[in-house]
Amino acid sequence: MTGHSNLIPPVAPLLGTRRLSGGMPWVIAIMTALAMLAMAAALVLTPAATALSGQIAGRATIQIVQPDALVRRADVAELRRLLAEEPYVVAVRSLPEEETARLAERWLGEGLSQSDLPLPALIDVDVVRSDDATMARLGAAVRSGVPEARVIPHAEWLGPVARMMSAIGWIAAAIAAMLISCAAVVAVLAVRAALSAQRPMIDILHLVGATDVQVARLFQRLVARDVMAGAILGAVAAVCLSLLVVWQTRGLVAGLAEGAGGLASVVWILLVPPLVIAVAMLASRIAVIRALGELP
Amino acid sequence: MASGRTSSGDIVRFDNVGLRYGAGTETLSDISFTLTRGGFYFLAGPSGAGKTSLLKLLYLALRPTRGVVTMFGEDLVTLPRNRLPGFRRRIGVVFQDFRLIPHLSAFDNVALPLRIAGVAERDLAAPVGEMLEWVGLGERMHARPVTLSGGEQQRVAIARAVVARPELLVADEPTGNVDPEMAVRLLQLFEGLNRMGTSVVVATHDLHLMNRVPGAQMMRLAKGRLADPTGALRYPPASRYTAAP
Repeated sequence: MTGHSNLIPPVAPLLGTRRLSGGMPWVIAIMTALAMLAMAAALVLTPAATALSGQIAGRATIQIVQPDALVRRADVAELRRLLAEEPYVVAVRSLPEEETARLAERWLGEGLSQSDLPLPALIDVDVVRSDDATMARLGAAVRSGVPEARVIPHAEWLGPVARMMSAIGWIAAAIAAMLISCAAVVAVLAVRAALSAQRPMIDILHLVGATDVQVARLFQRLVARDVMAGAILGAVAAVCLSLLVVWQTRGLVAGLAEGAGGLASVVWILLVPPLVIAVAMLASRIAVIRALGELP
Repeated sequence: MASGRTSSGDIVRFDNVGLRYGAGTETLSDISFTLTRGGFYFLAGPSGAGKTSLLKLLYLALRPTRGVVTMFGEDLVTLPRNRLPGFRRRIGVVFQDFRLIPHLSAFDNVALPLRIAGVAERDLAAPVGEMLEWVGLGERMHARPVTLSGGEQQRVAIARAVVARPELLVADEPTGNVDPEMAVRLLQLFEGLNRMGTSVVVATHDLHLMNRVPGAQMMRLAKGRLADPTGALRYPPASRYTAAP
Protein backbone atom coordinates (compact mmCIF):
# COMPACT_ATOMS: atom_id res chain seq x y z
CA MET A 1 0.00 0.00 0.00
CA THR A 2 1.35 3.40 -0.84
CA GLY A 3 0.83 6.61 1.05
CA HIS A 4 -1.93 9.12 1.19
CA SER A 5 -3.78 10.05 -1.99
CA ASN A 6 -6.02 13.04 -2.53
CA LEU A 7 -7.78 11.61 -5.54
CA ILE A 8 -9.83 8.45 -5.82
CA PRO A 9 -9.31 7.17 -9.38
CA PRO A 10 -12.48 7.55 -11.40
CA VAL A 11 -12.62 3.86 -12.35
CA ALA A 12 -16.29 3.89 -11.56
CA PRO A 13 -18.43 6.88 -10.66
CA LEU A 14 -18.61 6.49 -6.91
CA LEU A 15 -21.52 8.85 -6.52
CA GLY A 16 -23.43 7.21 -9.34
CA THR A 17 -24.09 8.47 -12.82
CA ARG A 18 -27.03 10.65 -11.92
CA ARG A 19 -26.76 14.38 -12.27
CA LEU A 20 -26.36 16.54 -9.18
CA SER A 21 -29.73 18.12 -9.70
CA GLY A 22 -32.01 17.86 -12.69
CA GLY A 23 -32.67 21.58 -13.01
CA MET A 24 -29.24 22.93 -12.16
CA PRO A 25 -27.70 22.97 -15.67
CA TRP A 26 -30.73 24.88 -16.96
CA VAL A 27 -30.60 27.45 -14.15
CA ILE A 28 -26.85 27.88 -14.71
CA ALA A 29 -27.49 28.22 -18.46
CA ILE A 30 -30.05 30.99 -17.94
CA MET A 31 -27.81 32.82 -15.48
CA THR A 32 -24.78 32.53 -17.74
CA ALA A 33 -26.72 33.84 -20.73
CA LEU A 34 -28.12 36.78 -18.77
CA ALA A 35 -24.71 37.54 -17.24
CA MET A 36 -23.10 37.57 -20.70
CA LEU A 37 -25.80 39.88 -22.07
CA ALA A 38 -25.50 42.17 -19.07
CA MET A 39 -21.72 42.19 -19.44
CA ALA A 40 -22.10 43.03 -23.14
CA ALA A 41 -24.43 45.91 -22.29
CA ALA A 42 -21.97 47.17 -19.69
CA LEU A 43 -19.04 46.96 -22.07
CA VAL A 44 -20.90 48.83 -24.82
CA LEU A 45 -22.70 51.48 -22.78
CA THR A 46 -19.95 52.55 -20.39
CA PRO A 47 -17.32 53.38 -23.05
CA ALA A 48 -20.03 54.89 -25.24
CA ALA A 49 -21.03 57.18 -22.38
CA THR A 50 -17.39 58.11 -21.82
CA ALA A 51 -16.93 58.83 -25.53
CA LEU A 52 -20.08 60.92 -25.57
CA SER A 53 -18.92 62.87 -22.54
CA GLY A 54 -15.61 63.52 -24.29
CA GLN A 55 -17.37 64.71 -27.38
CA ILE A 56 -19.66 67.15 -25.61
CA ALA A 57 -17.08 68.47 -23.19
CA GLY A 58 -15.86 71.94 -24.19
CA ARG A 59 -18.37 72.35 -26.95
CA ALA A 60 -21.26 74.82 -27.22
CA THR A 61 -23.70 75.96 -29.85
CA ILE A 62 -24.54 79.62 -30.29
CA GLN A 63 -28.06 80.22 -31.47
CA ILE A 64 -29.01 83.52 -33.16
CA VAL A 65 -32.75 83.99 -33.50
CA GLN A 66 -33.17 86.87 -35.92
CA PRO A 67 -36.04 86.98 -38.48
CA ASP A 68 -34.15 89.26 -40.81
CA ALA A 69 -31.78 87.09 -42.82
CA LEU A 70 -29.39 89.94 -43.62
CA VAL A 71 -29.07 90.99 -39.97
CA ARG A 72 -28.72 87.34 -38.96
CA ARG A 73 -25.88 86.80 -41.42
CA ALA A 74 -24.19 89.98 -40.18
CA ASP A 75 -24.54 88.76 -36.59
CA VAL A 76 -22.91 85.45 -37.56
CA ALA A 77 -20.01 87.25 -39.20
CA GLU A 78 -19.64 89.55 -36.20
CA LEU A 79 -19.58 86.66 -33.77
CA ARG A 80 -17.09 84.69 -35.88
CA ARG A 81 -14.78 87.67 -35.92
CA LEU A 82 -15.22 88.31 -32.22
CA LEU A 83 -14.68 84.70 -31.18
CA ALA A 84 -11.59 84.34 -33.34
CA GLU A 85 -9.93 86.86 -31.03
CA GLU A 86 -10.79 84.97 -27.83
CA PRO A 87 -7.76 82.94 -26.61
CA TYR A 88 -9.79 80.09 -25.09
CA VAL A 89 -11.71 79.40 -28.31
CA VAL A 90 -10.24 76.49 -30.26
CA ALA A 91 -12.58 76.31 -33.23
CA VAL A 92 -15.61 78.12 -34.61
CA ARG A 93 -17.88 76.59 -37.22
CA SER A 94 -21.12 78.18 -38.40
CA LEU A 95 -23.73 75.82 -39.74
CA PRO A 96 -24.64 76.68 -43.35
CA GLU A 97 -28.26 77.76 -43.78
CA GLU A 98 -28.91 74.82 -46.15
CA GLU A 99 -27.80 72.40 -43.47
CA THR A 100 -30.00 74.08 -40.88
CA ALA A 101 -32.90 73.79 -43.28
CA ARG A 102 -32.18 70.08 -43.81
CA LEU A 103 -32.18 69.57 -40.04
CA ALA A 104 -35.53 71.36 -39.79
CA GLU A 105 -37.02 69.25 -42.60
CA ARG A 106 -37.08 66.24 -40.32
CA TRP A 107 -39.55 68.01 -38.07
CA LEU A 108 -41.27 70.56 -40.31
CA GLY A 109 -41.33 68.79 -43.67
CA GLU A 110 -39.90 69.72 -47.09
CA GLY A 111 -40.42 72.94 -49.04
CA LEU A 112 -39.77 75.22 -46.14
CA SER A 113 -38.53 78.72 -47.10
CA GLN A 114 -36.77 81.27 -44.91
CA SER A 115 -39.57 83.72 -45.53
CA ASP A 116 -42.23 81.27 -44.22
CA LEU A 117 -40.34 80.43 -41.06
CA PRO A 118 -36.99 82.09 -40.32
CA LEU A 119 -34.61 79.50 -38.93
CA PRO A 120 -32.00 80.46 -36.32
CA ALA A 121 -28.35 80.63 -37.27
CA LEU A 122 -26.20 78.07 -35.45
CA ILE A 123 -22.50 78.38 -34.65
CA ASP A 124 -20.55 75.48 -33.06
CA VAL A 125 -17.73 76.59 -30.79
CA ASP A 126 -14.99 74.44 -29.23
CA VAL A 127 -13.27 75.86 -26.16
CA VAL A 128 -10.13 74.64 -24.41
CA ARG A 129 -11.88 73.75 -21.13
CA SER A 130 -15.44 72.84 -20.38
CA ASP A 131 -15.58 74.43 -16.93
CA ASP A 132 -18.22 76.93 -15.91
CA ALA A 133 -15.80 79.89 -15.93
CA THR A 134 -14.86 79.34 -19.58
CA MET A 135 -18.49 78.96 -20.56
CA ALA A 136 -19.29 82.18 -18.67
CA ARG A 137 -16.51 84.02 -20.52
CA LEU A 138 -17.84 82.69 -23.80
CA GLY A 139 -21.36 83.84 -22.91
CA ALA A 140 -20.12 87.32 -21.99
CA ALA A 141 -18.14 87.63 -25.22
CA VAL A 142 -21.14 86.52 -27.32
CA ARG A 143 -23.53 88.88 -25.58
CA SER A 144 -21.12 91.79 -26.02
CA GLY A 145 -21.29 91.34 -29.80
CA VAL A 146 -24.86 90.07 -30.32
CA PRO A 147 -26.98 90.55 -27.16
CA GLU A 148 -29.89 88.39 -28.41
CA ALA A 149 -27.64 85.38 -29.17
CA ARG A 150 -27.94 82.39 -26.85
CA VAL A 151 -25.06 80.11 -25.80
CA ILE A 152 -26.08 76.42 -25.26
CA PRO A 153 -23.31 74.24 -23.79
CA HIS A 154 -23.65 70.70 -25.21
CA ALA A 155 -23.13 69.27 -21.74
CA GLU A 156 -26.36 70.96 -20.71
CA TRP A 157 -28.58 68.73 -22.84
CA LEU A 158 -26.39 65.72 -23.73
CA GLY A 159 -24.78 65.42 -20.28
CA PRO A 160 -27.79 63.72 -18.63
CA VAL A 161 -27.95 61.26 -21.54
CA ALA A 162 -24.27 60.40 -21.13
CA ARG A 163 -24.69 60.04 -17.38
CA MET A 164 -27.73 57.82 -17.83
CA MET A 165 -25.84 55.64 -20.32
CA SER A 166 -22.96 55.38 -17.90
CA ALA A 167 -25.28 54.51 -15.01
CA ILE A 168 -27.05 51.85 -17.07
CA GLY A 169 -23.67 50.42 -18.01
CA TRP A 170 -22.58 50.17 -14.40
CA ILE A 171 -25.95 48.70 -13.39
CA ALA A 172 -25.53 46.10 -16.14
CA ALA A 173 -22.06 45.26 -14.82
CA ALA A 174 -23.48 44.89 -11.31
CA ILE A 175 -26.25 42.64 -12.64
CA ALA A 176 -23.63 40.48 -14.38
CA ALA A 177 -21.69 40.19 -11.12
CA MET A 178 -24.85 39.33 -9.19
CA LEU A 179 -25.85 36.69 -11.73
CA ILE A 180 -22.42 35.09 -11.47
CA SER A 181 -22.79 35.10 -7.68
CA CYS A 182 -26.26 33.58 -8.02
CA ALA A 183 -24.77 30.77 -10.10
CA ALA A 184 -22.45 30.05 -7.18
CA VAL A 185 -25.40 30.06 -4.76
CA VAL A 186 -27.31 27.64 -7.01
CA ALA A 187 -24.28 25.34 -7.10
CA VAL A 188 -23.98 25.46 -3.31
CA LEU A 189 -27.67 24.65 -2.82
CA ALA A 190 -27.45 21.76 -5.27
CA VAL A 191 -24.33 20.37 -3.66
CA ARG A 192 -25.91 20.63 -0.21
CA ALA A 193 -28.90 18.64 -1.43
CA ALA A 194 -26.54 16.10 -2.97
CA LEU A 195 -24.57 15.86 0.28
CA SER A 196 -27.77 15.11 2.13
CA ALA A 197 -28.87 12.52 -0.42
CA GLN A 198 -25.43 10.90 -0.52
CA ARG A 199 -24.89 10.81 3.24
CA PRO A 200 -24.78 6.98 3.41
CA MET A 201 -22.13 6.99 0.68
CA ILE A 202 -20.12 9.63 2.53
CA ASP A 203 -20.26 7.52 5.69
CA ILE A 204 -18.91 4.50 3.80
CA LEU A 205 -16.12 6.56 2.27
CA HIS A 206 -15.17 7.99 5.64
CA LEU A 207 -15.25 4.55 7.26
CA VAL A 208 -12.77 3.17 4.74
CA GLY A 209 -10.45 6.10 5.41
CA ALA A 210 -11.36 8.75 2.83
CA THR A 211 -10.32 12.27 3.71
CA ASP A 212 -12.68 15.23 3.40
CA VAL A 213 -10.65 16.46 0.44
CA GLN A 214 -11.15 13.15 -1.37
CA VAL A 215 -14.89 13.18 -0.73
CA ALA A 216 -15.13 16.85 -1.72
CA ARG A 217 -13.46 16.11 -5.05
CA LEU A 218 -16.09 13.50 -5.86
CA PHE A 219 -18.79 16.12 -5.39
CA GLN A 220 -16.79 18.67 -7.33
CA ARG A 221 -16.76 16.35 -10.31
CA LEU A 222 -20.56 16.29 -10.23
CA VAL A 223 -20.74 20.07 -9.85
CA ALA A 224 -18.23 20.60 -12.64
CA ARG A 225 -20.18 18.39 -15.02
CA ASP A 226 -23.50 20.15 -14.41
CA VAL A 227 -22.08 23.68 -14.24
CA MET A 228 -20.02 23.25 -17.39
CA ALA A 229 -23.01 21.89 -19.28
CA GLY A 230 -25.11 24.84 -18.13
CA ALA A 231 -22.42 27.45 -18.80
CA ILE A 232 -21.77 26.20 -22.34
CA LEU A 233 -25.49 26.07 -23.09
CA GLY A 234 -25.94 29.58 -21.71
CA ALA A 235 -22.97 30.91 -23.68
CA VAL A 236 -24.34 29.55 -26.94
CA ALA A 237 -27.76 31.05 -26.18
CA ALA A 238 -26.23 34.43 -25.30
CA VAL A 239 -24.13 34.54 -28.47
CA CYS A 240 -27.13 33.63 -30.64
CA LEU A 241 -29.30 36.22 -28.91
CA SER A 242 -26.59 38.88 -29.24
CA LEU A 243 -26.16 38.21 -32.96
CA LEU A 244 -29.91 38.46 -33.41
CA VAL A 245 -30.05 41.80 -31.56
CA VAL A 246 -27.06 43.15 -33.49
CA TRP A 247 -28.66 42.14 -36.77
CA GLN A 248 -32.01 43.68 -35.81
CA THR A 249 -30.52 47.00 -34.61
CA ARG A 250 -27.29 47.10 -36.58
CA GLY A 251 -27.24 50.87 -37.08
CA LEU A 252 -27.62 51.74 -33.42
CA VAL A 253 -25.34 48.98 -32.17
CA ALA A 254 -22.65 49.90 -34.69
CA GLY A 255 -22.72 53.49 -33.41
CA LEU A 256 -22.51 52.40 -29.78
CA ALA A 257 -19.89 49.75 -30.48
CA GLU A 258 -17.53 52.36 -31.91
CA GLY A 259 -16.71 53.45 -28.40
CA ALA A 260 -16.46 49.90 -27.02
CA GLY A 261 -13.20 48.05 -26.57
CA GLY A 262 -13.50 45.82 -29.64
CA LEU A 263 -11.68 42.51 -29.16
CA ALA A 264 -11.03 43.20 -25.48
CA SER A 265 -14.78 43.50 -24.89
CA VAL A 266 -15.43 40.23 -26.70
CA VAL A 267 -12.79 38.54 -24.55
CA TRP A 268 -14.41 39.92 -21.38
CA ILE A 269 -17.81 38.63 -22.46
CA LEU A 270 -16.39 35.21 -23.32
CA LEU A 271 -14.73 35.10 -19.90
CA VAL A 272 -18.15 35.02 -18.23
CA PRO A 273 -18.80 31.25 -18.67
CA PRO A 274 -15.37 30.22 -17.29
CA LEU A 275 -15.92 32.69 -14.46
CA VAL A 276 -19.33 31.13 -13.69
CA ILE A 277 -17.72 27.67 -13.65
CA ALA A 278 -14.82 28.78 -11.46
CA VAL A 279 -16.96 30.67 -8.95
CA ALA A 280 -19.56 27.88 -8.74
CA MET A 281 -16.89 25.22 -8.22
CA LEU A 282 -15.03 27.23 -5.62
CA ALA A 283 -18.22 27.98 -3.70
CA SER A 284 -19.37 24.36 -3.85
CA ARG A 285 -15.95 23.13 -2.71
CA ILE A 286 -16.04 25.43 0.31
CA ALA A 287 -19.63 24.30 1.06
CA VAL A 288 -18.67 20.61 0.85
CA ILE A 289 -15.56 20.95 2.98
CA ARG A 290 -17.52 22.92 5.60
CA ALA A 291 -20.37 20.39 5.63
CA LEU A 292 -17.96 17.47 5.91
CA GLY A 293 -16.14 19.25 8.70
CA GLU A 294 -19.34 19.19 10.75
CA LEU A 295 -19.45 15.38 10.62
CA PRO A 296 -17.91 13.37 13.48
CA MET B 1 -9.89 -7.94 29.28
CA ALA B 2 -9.18 -5.60 32.13
CA SER B 3 -8.65 -1.99 32.89
CA GLY B 4 -5.18 -0.86 33.78
CA ARG B 5 -2.04 0.50 32.24
CA THR B 6 -1.72 0.45 28.45
CA SER B 7 0.82 -2.12 27.38
CA SER B 8 2.48 -2.61 24.01
CA GLY B 9 0.05 -5.48 23.36
CA ASP B 10 -3.00 -3.26 23.78
CA ILE B 11 -4.68 -1.98 20.67
CA VAL B 12 -7.65 -0.14 22.20
CA ARG B 13 -8.25 1.22 25.65
CA PHE B 14 -11.40 2.93 27.00
CA ASP B 15 -11.22 4.75 30.32
CA ASN B 16 -14.51 5.88 31.89
CA VAL B 17 -15.95 6.65 28.51
CA GLY B 18 -19.39 8.19 28.23
CA LEU B 19 -21.45 8.95 25.15
CA ARG B 20 -24.43 11.22 24.93
CA TYR B 21 -26.50 12.08 21.84
CA GLY B 22 -27.51 15.72 22.01
CA ALA B 23 -28.85 16.79 25.38
CA GLY B 24 -30.35 13.42 26.31
CA THR B 25 -29.20 10.95 28.92
CA GLU B 26 -25.97 9.05 28.41
CA THR B 27 -26.24 6.16 25.98
CA LEU B 28 -22.96 4.75 27.27
CA SER B 29 -21.65 5.36 30.78
CA ASP B 30 -18.37 4.61 32.49
CA ILE B 31 -17.12 2.21 29.86
CA SER B 32 -13.63 0.95 30.63
CA PHE B 33 -11.91 -1.94 28.88
CA THR B 34 -8.80 -2.86 26.97
CA LEU B 35 -8.54 -4.85 23.75
CA THR B 36 -5.29 -6.69 23.21
CA ARG B 37 -3.63 -7.17 19.86
CA GLY B 38 -4.77 -10.45 18.30
CA GLY B 39 -7.75 -10.84 20.61
CA PHE B 40 -11.21 -12.05 19.56
CA TYR B 41 -14.08 -10.36 21.33
CA PHE B 42 -17.82 -10.69 21.26
CA LEU B 43 -19.97 -7.77 22.28
CA ALA B 44 -23.29 -8.99 23.60
CA GLY B 45 -26.33 -7.39 25.13
CA PRO B 46 -30.02 -6.81 24.53
CA SER B 47 -31.33 -4.41 21.91
CA GLY B 48 -30.88 -0.83 23.04
CA ALA B 49 -28.02 -1.72 25.38
CA GLY B 50 -25.63 0.48 23.40
CA LYS B 51 -23.73 -2.11 21.35
CA THR B 52 -23.90 -0.15 18.09
CA SER B 53 -22.91 3.07 19.87
CA LEU B 54 -19.89 1.33 21.38
CA LEU B 55 -18.94 -0.07 17.99
CA LYS B 56 -19.27 3.43 16.47
CA LEU B 57 -16.75 4.65 19.02
CA LEU B 58 -14.50 1.75 18.06
CA TYR B 59 -14.62 2.41 14.33
CA LEU B 60 -14.35 6.18 14.86
CA ALA B 61 -17.76 7.16 13.53
CA LEU B 62 -18.33 8.95 16.85
CA ARG B 63 -16.19 10.51 19.52
CA PRO B 64 -17.01 10.11 23.22
CA THR B 65 -18.51 12.98 25.17
CA ARG B 66 -16.31 12.13 28.15
CA GLY B 67 -13.55 9.79 29.13
CA VAL B 68 -10.42 8.75 27.29
CA VAL B 69 -10.14 6.51 24.23
CA THR B 70 -6.65 5.37 23.35
CA MET B 71 -6.22 3.55 20.06
CA PHE B 72 -2.97 2.37 18.48
CA GLY B 73 -1.20 4.27 21.24
CA GLU B 74 -2.81 7.67 20.61
CA ASP B 75 -5.49 9.58 22.48
CA LEU B 76 -8.36 9.82 20.02
CA VAL B 77 -10.42 12.31 22.03
CA THR B 78 -7.97 15.11 21.39
CA LEU B 79 -6.77 13.89 17.98
CA PRO B 80 -7.35 16.49 15.22
CA ARG B 81 -10.15 15.51 12.87
CA ASN B 82 -7.88 15.53 9.84
CA ARG B 83 -5.86 12.67 11.34
CA LEU B 84 -8.86 10.36 11.76
CA PRO B 85 -8.73 8.94 8.18
CA GLY B 86 -5.28 7.52 8.89
CA PHE B 87 -6.67 5.68 11.91
CA ARG B 88 -9.78 4.55 10.09
CA ARG B 89 -7.58 2.89 7.48
CA ARG B 90 -6.27 0.64 10.24
CA ILE B 91 -9.80 -0.48 11.13
CA GLY B 92 -12.10 -2.71 9.07
CA VAL B 93 -15.87 -2.50 9.57
CA VAL B 94 -18.60 -4.99 8.67
CA PHE B 95 -22.28 -4.12 9.01
CA GLN B 96 -25.41 -6.22 9.26
CA ASP B 97 -26.80 -4.43 6.19
CA PHE B 98 -23.49 -4.81 4.27
CA ARG B 99 -23.37 -1.16 3.12
CA LEU B 100 -21.92 -2.02 -0.25
CA ILE B 101 -21.98 0.59 -3.00
CA PRO B 102 -24.76 -0.70 -5.23
CA HIS B 103 -23.50 0.57 -8.59
CA LEU B 104 -19.99 -0.78 -8.12
CA SER B 105 -18.95 -4.36 -8.87
CA ALA B 106 -17.77 -6.68 -6.10
CA PHE B 107 -14.20 -6.00 -7.27
CA ASP B 108 -14.60 -2.21 -7.08
CA ASN B 109 -16.30 -2.43 -3.69
CA VAL B 110 -13.44 -4.47 -2.29
CA ALA B 111 -10.85 -2.26 -3.98
CA LEU B 112 -12.31 0.94 -2.48
CA PRO B 113 -10.15 1.11 0.67
CA LEU B 114 -7.01 0.47 -1.38
CA ARG B 115 -7.89 3.15 -3.93
CA ILE B 116 -8.57 5.62 -1.14
CA ALA B 117 -5.22 4.73 0.40
CA GLY B 118 -3.57 5.55 -2.92
CA VAL B 119 -2.73 2.08 -4.24
CA ALA B 120 -2.01 2.23 -7.97
CA GLU B 121 -4.57 0.64 -10.31
CA ARG B 122 -2.05 -1.91 -11.58
CA ASP B 123 -1.47 -3.11 -8.03
CA LEU B 124 -5.13 -3.68 -7.18
CA ALA B 125 -5.88 -6.91 -9.02
CA ALA B 126 -3.70 -9.19 -6.88
CA PRO B 127 -4.87 -8.23 -3.37
CA VAL B 128 -8.51 -7.73 -4.36
CA GLY B 129 -8.60 -10.99 -6.32
CA GLU B 130 -6.94 -12.80 -3.45
CA MET B 131 -9.44 -11.40 -0.98
CA LEU B 132 -12.41 -12.35 -3.15
CA GLU B 133 -10.98 -15.85 -3.54
CA TRP B 134 -10.58 -16.01 0.22
CA VAL B 135 -14.26 -15.29 0.76
CA GLY B 136 -15.19 -17.72 -2.04
CA LEU B 137 -16.31 -15.14 -4.59
CA GLY B 138 -13.41 -15.20 -7.04
CA GLU B 139 -15.80 -16.10 -9.84
CA ARG B 140 -18.18 -13.26 -9.08
CA MET B 141 -15.84 -10.30 -8.89
CA HIS B 142 -17.64 -8.44 -11.65
CA ALA B 143 -21.12 -8.96 -10.18
CA ARG B 144 -22.97 -6.03 -8.72
CA PRO B 145 -24.30 -6.35 -5.16
CA VAL B 146 -27.94 -6.54 -6.31
CA THR B 147 -27.18 -9.78 -8.16
CA LEU B 148 -25.56 -11.39 -5.10
CA SER B 149 -27.30 -13.25 -2.27
CA GLY B 150 -27.26 -11.87 1.28
CA GLY B 151 -24.43 -14.19 2.28
CA GLU B 152 -22.42 -13.28 -0.80
CA GLN B 153 -22.91 -9.58 -0.16
CA GLN B 154 -21.74 -10.02 3.43
CA ARG B 155 -18.65 -11.83 2.19
CA VAL B 156 -17.90 -8.96 -0.19
CA ALA B 157 -18.33 -6.59 2.75
CA ILE B 158 -15.90 -8.69 4.81
CA ALA B 159 -13.41 -8.72 1.93
CA ARG B 160 -13.68 -4.93 1.71
CA ALA B 161 -13.16 -4.63 5.46
CA VAL B 162 -10.00 -6.72 5.51
CA VAL B 163 -8.39 -6.04 2.12
CA ALA B 164 -6.17 -3.33 3.57
CA ARG B 165 -5.05 -5.74 6.33
CA PRO B 166 -6.56 -3.79 9.24
CA GLU B 167 -5.24 -4.19 12.75
CA LEU B 168 -8.76 -4.12 14.15
CA LEU B 169 -11.92 -5.58 12.62
CA VAL B 170 -15.28 -4.42 13.98
CA ALA B 171 -18.44 -6.25 12.94
CA ASP B 172 -21.95 -5.12 13.87
CA GLU B 173 -24.33 -8.10 13.78
CA PRO B 174 -22.57 -9.47 10.69
CA THR B 175 -24.66 -12.66 10.67
CA GLY B 176 -27.99 -10.99 11.24
CA ASN B 177 -29.09 -11.19 7.61
CA VAL B 178 -27.70 -14.58 6.62
CA ASP B 179 -28.79 -18.17 7.24
CA PRO B 180 -27.13 -20.19 10.07
CA GLU B 181 -24.87 -22.11 7.73
CA MET B 182 -23.58 -18.91 6.17
CA ALA B 183 -23.20 -17.38 9.64
CA VAL B 184 -20.80 -20.17 10.57
CA ARG B 185 -18.84 -19.65 7.35
CA LEU B 186 -18.56 -15.93 8.03
CA LEU B 187 -17.38 -16.60 11.55
CA GLN B 188 -14.72 -18.92 10.16
CA LEU B 189 -13.52 -16.02 7.98
CA PHE B 190 -13.24 -13.81 11.07
CA GLU B 191 -11.32 -16.53 12.86
CA GLY B 192 -8.97 -16.92 9.92
CA LEU B 193 -8.30 -13.21 9.94
CA ASN B 194 -7.80 -13.27 13.70
CA ARG B 195 -5.22 -16.02 13.31
CA MET B 196 -3.27 -13.66 11.05
CA GLY B 197 -3.05 -11.18 13.93
CA THR B 198 -6.07 -8.91 13.48
CA SER B 199 -8.03 -8.08 16.60
CA VAL B 200 -11.71 -8.84 16.04
CA VAL B 201 -14.76 -7.40 17.77
CA VAL B 202 -18.13 -8.88 16.81
CA ALA B 203 -21.43 -7.60 18.16
CA THR B 204 -24.04 -10.33 18.13
CA HIS B 205 -27.09 -11.71 19.89
CA ASP B 206 -26.24 -15.24 18.83
CA LEU B 207 -24.99 -17.24 21.82
CA HIS B 208 -24.61 -20.31 19.64
CA LEU B 209 -22.18 -18.36 17.45
CA MET B 210 -20.18 -17.17 20.46
CA ASN B 211 -19.70 -20.71 21.63
CA ARG B 212 -18.16 -21.68 18.31
CA VAL B 213 -15.07 -19.54 18.91
CA PRO B 214 -12.90 -21.10 21.57
CA GLY B 215 -11.01 -18.58 23.61
CA ALA B 216 -13.04 -15.58 22.51
CA GLN B 217 -13.81 -13.05 25.19
CA MET B 218 -17.17 -11.44 25.75
CA MET B 219 -18.18 -7.97 26.72
CA ARG B 220 -21.77 -7.75 27.88
CA LEU B 221 -23.54 -4.41 27.70
CA ALA B 222 -26.68 -3.63 29.65
CA LYS B 223 -28.32 -0.22 29.74
CA GLY B 224 -25.20 1.47 28.41
CA ARG B 225 -22.80 -0.04 30.91
CA LEU B 226 -20.47 -2.98 30.74
CA ALA B 227 -22.23 -5.53 32.92
CA ASP B 228 -19.26 -7.72 33.69
CA PRO B 229 -16.11 -6.11 32.40
CA THR B 230 -13.82 -8.74 33.83
CA GLY B 231 -16.04 -11.68 34.70
CA ALA B 232 -16.68 -12.61 31.09
CA LEU B 233 -13.05 -13.37 30.41
CA ARG B 234 -13.15 -17.04 29.73
CA TYR B 235 -9.86 -17.60 28.00
CA PRO B 236 -7.01 -15.17 27.55
CA PRO B 237 -6.36 -14.74 23.80
CA ALA B 238 -2.77 -15.91 24.07
CA SER B 239 -3.90 -19.31 25.29
CA ARG B 240 -6.66 -19.85 22.77
CA TYR B 241 -4.79 -22.34 20.68
CA THR B 242 -2.75 -23.92 23.42
CA ALA B 243 -5.15 -24.57 26.24
CA ALA B 244 -8.13 -26.86 26.06
CA PRO B 245 -11.44 -25.20 26.88
